[in-house]
Amino acid sequence: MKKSEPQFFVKQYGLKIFAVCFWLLFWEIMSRIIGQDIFLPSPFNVVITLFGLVQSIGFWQTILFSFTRIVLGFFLAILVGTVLSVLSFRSLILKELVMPLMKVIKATPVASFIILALIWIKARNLSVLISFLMVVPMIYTTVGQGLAAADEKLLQMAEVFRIGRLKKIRAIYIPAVIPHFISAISVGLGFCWKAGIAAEVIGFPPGSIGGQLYEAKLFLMTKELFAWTTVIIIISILFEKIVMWFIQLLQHDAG
Amino acid sequence: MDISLHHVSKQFGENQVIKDFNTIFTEGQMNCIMGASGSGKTTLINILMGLIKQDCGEINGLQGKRIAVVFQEDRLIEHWDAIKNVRLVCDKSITAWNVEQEFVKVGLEEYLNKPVLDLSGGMRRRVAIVRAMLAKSDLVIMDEPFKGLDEALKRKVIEYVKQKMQGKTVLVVTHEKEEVQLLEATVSALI
Repeated sequence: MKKSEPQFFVKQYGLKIFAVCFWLLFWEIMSRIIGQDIFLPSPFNVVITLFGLVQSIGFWQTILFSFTRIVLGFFLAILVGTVLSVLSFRSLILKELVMPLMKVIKATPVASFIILALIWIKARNLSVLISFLMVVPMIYTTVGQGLAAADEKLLQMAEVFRIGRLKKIRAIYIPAVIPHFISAISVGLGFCWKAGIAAEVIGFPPGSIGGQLYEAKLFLMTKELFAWTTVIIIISILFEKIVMWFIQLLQHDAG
Repeated sequence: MDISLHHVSKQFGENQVIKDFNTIFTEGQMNCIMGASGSGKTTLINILMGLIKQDCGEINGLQGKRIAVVFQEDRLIEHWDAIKNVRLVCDKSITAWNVEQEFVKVGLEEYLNKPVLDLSGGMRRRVAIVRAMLAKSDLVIMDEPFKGLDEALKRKVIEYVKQKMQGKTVLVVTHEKEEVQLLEATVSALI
């Protein structure tokens, strides 16, 4: 028997709403038990603080500051990672040259990069470099895996029919790369936000989200700390949704 | 120019697949390569297509020839529809409408806008055949092209292939004598 519309809705969203409510309630209870906003503010107080922040222009300027830099680093990483991966796929020498560099970037703690980068560049541009460094090895590796996973039999077909390079990329390589690319983007987005904000906390550029977090910590403004963290989570999720929607659009177009 | 093979051999490890093979495929004709399963027919056409190299022997008459092929496993772009698959190998002068007309000739009128992944084996086979027929080529190689088609459909598709390939050099791999007769082909090689 086909399930009715309300039953489907309850099954699809009911449990998710329940889970969110459960953890909000848990948070509220814990905050009441502790009884001090400085240690754990209640969700209600965090929302009130957030509403207060939203009303100031400075809030939006702060978001714009961090967002543009982290996103710039992310897109630069996609561009550089993809180009390097494609070139490495075509040239073994370049692959051998680039691979150790990527491994070193992957293995180096983000804090080391942040401190080093602070010596090299201005604090206001730190998050661009750090989010770039966090994402570029992921893109490089996964695009390479996707290219290597392209169907050998289809490539032979393309060779016999003498299909042009662009058509071959569109028909065979892009569909092979997209699943790997999507998983890299999904993981990379989370990483670039975390690393980018961490860089701002350490570098403390004025007018950044990381700067606000640092100030909140410095003056024990726990409600603000929670409110800004909520903002980071929301932006990160929204940005991921937009990027994924865009990739699906590209995938549909390639199909 | 005819395609001639002289003393062609191919070995995979210890397995001698083709041994001292000689034949001539006549230009502008339908040539059949016959043989039992596992006798090296597919290896032979892979050599002709340049996908693998023979261990020894000489092949003449292939230089500069454009090849179109019907592979045994179709080799279609799974998430693309039938029309897009065919147009991938054609030049721009072949429109979607042209391709549709060809599909009508092989009894494929429905599901043309669906991904070929969703099509039946017989439908996919016909897509692969139409693709090879419409591609710009000097030589068409078909590896067991009518396998999986029911009797009536097979006759219809064979008629279509005969009509499209008039005057063209075609190599058909088969082990069905009936197909050779229906194609009015010359058995050029027994392997």
